[in-house]
Amino acid sequence: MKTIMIKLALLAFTVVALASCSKSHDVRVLKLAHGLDAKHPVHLSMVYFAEQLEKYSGGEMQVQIYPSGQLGSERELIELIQIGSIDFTKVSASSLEPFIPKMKIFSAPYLFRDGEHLWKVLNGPIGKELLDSGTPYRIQGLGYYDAGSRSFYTTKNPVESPADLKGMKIRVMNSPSAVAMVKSMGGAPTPISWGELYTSLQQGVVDGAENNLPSFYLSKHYEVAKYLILDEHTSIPDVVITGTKSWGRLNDQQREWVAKAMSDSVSYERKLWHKVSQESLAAVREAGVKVIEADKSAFVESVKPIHEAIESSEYGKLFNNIREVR
Amino acid sequence: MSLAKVCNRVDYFLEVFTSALMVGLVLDVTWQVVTRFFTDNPSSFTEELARFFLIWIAFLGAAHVFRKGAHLGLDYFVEKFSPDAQNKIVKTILVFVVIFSVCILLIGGSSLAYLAWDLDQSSASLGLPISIVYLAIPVSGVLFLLFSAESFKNYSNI
Repeated sequence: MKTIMIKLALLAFTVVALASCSKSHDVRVLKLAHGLDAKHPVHLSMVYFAEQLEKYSGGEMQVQIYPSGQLGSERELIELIQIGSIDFTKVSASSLEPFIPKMKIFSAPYLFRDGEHLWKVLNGPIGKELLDSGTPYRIQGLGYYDAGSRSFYTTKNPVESPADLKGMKIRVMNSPSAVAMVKSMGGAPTPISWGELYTSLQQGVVDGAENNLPSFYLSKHYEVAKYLILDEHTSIPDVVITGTKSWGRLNDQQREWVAKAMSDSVSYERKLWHKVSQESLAAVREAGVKVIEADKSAFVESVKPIHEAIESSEYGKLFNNIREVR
Repeated sequence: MSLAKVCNRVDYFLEVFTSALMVGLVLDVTWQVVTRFFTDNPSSFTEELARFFLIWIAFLGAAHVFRKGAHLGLDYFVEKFSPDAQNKIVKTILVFVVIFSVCILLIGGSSLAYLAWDLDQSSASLGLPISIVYLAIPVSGVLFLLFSAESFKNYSNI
């Protein structure tokens, strides 16, 4: 009886081992995780990336997507990338700051003149250099996704210029650069977690916040914040990254496929993002939000001290190089 | 010095240290509320500091409470057994605790702390090394092992 059991167990083991063996030779399944909802443009672009990669590789490479932060928040996902537990993720460049110090440059307000300037930098040698700057930290950048520009929205009073921000409590992301920016403009920066923001706006804990258009719309903050000021102070892109470990496991042919699928996905995402932004703006207008076209020059003037501080820091050269791109 | 004595000392230190952290946590959060509601310059480091305090309190506190036997447990079924069998059950549980402490807390925790230290990860607003925060996990693992050893000895002497 006992020997039969052992034989059966051995047989089962061999079958499983053989089955998994043949599979891993033909198909490489890569894991992709991100923190956004499955309806978000970023997720749809990731799905497109998976489809393109499968198409280019003739089914040899497949991508399994874990959306909605199932595997963790952006910070945890970056750690999983470093360990090599997942192969791809999309994070905001600001989430990468604690890992790759150079990424701080994107948090500088009014770093880019406009969208055209932004994409010229990202697609140029500086963008490439920043993507590769993570390799000492086991992170390899693959491409940039559009994450729009962040603008202020307030609950009680409209804001036309930085002077109107004086004494207003503005929710910011918990990062020193965001805090410094609002301070420099004259507001009182208040770091509050994103999930608590709706009630904080409603109860008057803060008088306003800032984010890009789709987030303003999808978070339903427009229900309580009735003034949107299109001052577009920062344009922090999203970055799609892989780990140097995962990257090292791919051969040259496979890397080429990934790069090709990524660049398809980037142009797909940019179009989609633009469309969703326009739709969000129209939707919040519809909901009764007063959209104010701000005089940007006054805002640019108010962050001059920050620009000067960056110029004299170790990132001064990078900062000037970005500004000089025409 | 006997094992019991070492454990007593360590345990006393844990109690004082976690209480101090708790006091720090309360002051920190009070400061957050005061600066947010009464001044125009809300403090930006308090939330992160509170989180780090809480992590250390949780991991050290878990070890302290383990020694006291104050963790959640279902003893309904265990008490139905004879004292002899109960002794065996407790020892079996201790073996699982040791396996968890070594594999997850000690090995997993130190590799996580080492990774954060090696790759220079720092916290977003205070700029503290994240490895300091992660160090709580292997430290807690060592404490669990120490207290498991003591407990095992006690149950063997009965």
